[in-house]
Amino acid sequence: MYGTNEFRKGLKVELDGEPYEMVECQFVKPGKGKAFTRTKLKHMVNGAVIDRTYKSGEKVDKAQLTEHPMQYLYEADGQLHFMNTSDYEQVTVSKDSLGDQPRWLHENLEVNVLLHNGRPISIELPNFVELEVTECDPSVKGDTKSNATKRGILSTGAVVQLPMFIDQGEWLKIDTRTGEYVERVKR
Amino acid sequence: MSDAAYPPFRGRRTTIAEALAEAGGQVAGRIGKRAGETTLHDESETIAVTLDSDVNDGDWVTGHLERAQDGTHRLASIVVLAPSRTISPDPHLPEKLPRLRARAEIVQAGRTFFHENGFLEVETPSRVRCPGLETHLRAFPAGQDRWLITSPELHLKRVLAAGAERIVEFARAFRDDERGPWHRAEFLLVEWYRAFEGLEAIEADCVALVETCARAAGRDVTLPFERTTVREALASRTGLDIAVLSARDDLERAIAARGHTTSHEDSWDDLFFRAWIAEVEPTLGTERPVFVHDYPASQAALARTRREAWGEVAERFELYINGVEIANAFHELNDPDEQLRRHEADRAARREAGAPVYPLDESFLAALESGMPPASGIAFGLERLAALLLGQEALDAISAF
Repeated sequence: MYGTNEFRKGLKVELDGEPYEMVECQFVKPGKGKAFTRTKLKHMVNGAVIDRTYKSGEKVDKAQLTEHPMQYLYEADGQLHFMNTSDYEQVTVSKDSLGDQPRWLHENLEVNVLLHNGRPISIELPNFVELEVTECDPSVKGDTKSNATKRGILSTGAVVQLPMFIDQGEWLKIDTRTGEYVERVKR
Repeated sequence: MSDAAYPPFRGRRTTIAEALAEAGGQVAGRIGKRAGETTLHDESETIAVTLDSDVNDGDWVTGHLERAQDGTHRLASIVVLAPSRTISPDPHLPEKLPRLRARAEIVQAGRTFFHENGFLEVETPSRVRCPGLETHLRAFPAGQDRWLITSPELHLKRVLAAGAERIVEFARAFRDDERGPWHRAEFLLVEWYRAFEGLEAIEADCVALVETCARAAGRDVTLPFERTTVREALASRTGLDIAVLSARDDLERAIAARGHTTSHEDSWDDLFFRAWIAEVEPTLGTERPVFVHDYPASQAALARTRREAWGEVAERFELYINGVEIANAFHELNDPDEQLRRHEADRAARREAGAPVYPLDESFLAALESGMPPASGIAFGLERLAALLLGQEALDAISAF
C-alpha cells in the first residue's frame, strides 16, 4: 500500500483490480477543509485517465507488476506474440495497446514485458535497435555534413528520416526513444 | 588577515552594461566557465570574455574590460575578490533573481494600493497564545504556551474593535504539514478589513488589487470577474445539488456513483471536498477570475451565516484564478456568543481528531464582548497571485528559498 505521503508521478497503483499509473499528483488544501492529494491516474492498458482525490493518510494498493525478458516472435490478427526466455511460455499483447512501439519490433528482438497478475500490459524496448533500410532514394555522395534528410522505410515498416548518404540495404542503428537514426552498422 | 585572499573592492565600479556602452571600464562580476566558453556577469549583463590570467568558474573578480579590434572582450588586470571554493548551496537562485525582482514589484504595488485607499497598515504578533482554532490548521510550537500564527485574523479584529475602519497587514503566516506547489509552511498572507462594509466592497478591492498587481507585472487584466455560488459551481460540473444532498449518506452515495473513493469516516464536508477538489476546483477561474460565494454553513469558520430557501449558507467567498484559490473573504461574525460557540465546537473537533487543542483567545473574545463593528475582511495569497501573473506554476519559482 502507498500512503498519500508516498504519492508521486510514475507510481503504479491498483484500483478495483486494474493497474494505473499516477500521471499527476498535487497536494491541495481547501481554505476550510482537510488536506487532500489530487491525482490523475492513467489506466496502464487502455490509457483512460481518471481523477481521484485522496484524503491525507489514505492508502492505495500497489499494482502487482512483474517484468520478464521475452523474445518477440510474430504478429497475427493484431496480436503480438512473445516468448518468455526463461520458461518458453508464450504471451500475446494487443498491438493497438502499445502505441508506436511495434514499429521497432523485429523477429527475436529481446524486450521486457510488464505483466499485471500474469496479464501482459506493456513492453519496454531496448534503447537501440538495428534494422535494415528496405526503401529510400539513392544516396547523395559526399553529403555528410548538411542537415538535409530524406524519408526511408525500415524492414519493420517504420518510417524514419535518414541522412542523404544512406542507401537501400544498409543496416542502421536507431534510437527507439526518439525514433532517430544514430549510425550505420556492419552486418 | 584575509585581505590578500579576500580584498575589498576599491575605486569606481562600472557595470558591465555601462562598460560596453563606454567601450571599457573597471568592472566586477562573477566568472562562468561552460563548454569551453568563459563569461563574466553582473546584474546588468553577461558577456563572453577572454582572461589575461587564469581564474576559476564561480570566482568573483574585478578587472578592466576592454574591447579588441575583432569585437571580442578581454578582461585585464584581474584581481580575485572572492574565490569560489565550492559549489553554491543555492544553484537555482541566480536564475530566480529576475523573478524575485518582479515579485517585489507586485508586492510593492499591492502595498501602495492599500496606502492610497486609506488603509492603516498594522503589524500584529507572529508568536501568540492562540494561533487560530480552525480544525484543519496545524500551528508550529514557539516556546512555552506560544505558537506561530496561522493567520493574523484574531489580532486584526482587535484593531477593528478599537475603531480603525480600514486596516491591512502584510503578514507572514505559518502552517505545519502544508507542502505542495501552492503551499509552503510559511507564506505572505495579506489580510484586510473594512468596517461597515459588506462583501461587495471586498470584491471591488480584489478586482482593483488584481488589476494593480497585473500592471506591475506588465500584464493587463481588465476582464470582468465572474461570480457564482458553491451550489451552482458544483451542480454545473457534476450534476450534484447540495440542497438535495444535505444528508451525509445521500452525498456519499452520490459521489461514490461518480467514481470517487469514499470512507465511512468521511464527514459531509470531507465527501463534498472529494468531489469539489477533483471535479470543480481545477475548472474555476480558468477563463476569468471568479468569486465563489455562499459556502455550506458547516464551512463558515468566522463568517456570518444566512438562511436561504434551501438551507443555511456562510456569507463567505473565495477568489479563484486558473484553478488556484487566491483568497477567502468573510462577512465577519461579530456576535461574541456565537463566536464562543464555534470556538468551543472547533476545540471539540480538534480534540476528537487528536489534533492539538489550542486555548481560547480570551482577548479576542473580550474584544467582541466590548463591541466590534460589523465588518468584512479577507485573507489574500499575494504570492499565489504573483506566481500566476509571472506565468509560474509553483510558489517555489518566485521564492528565494
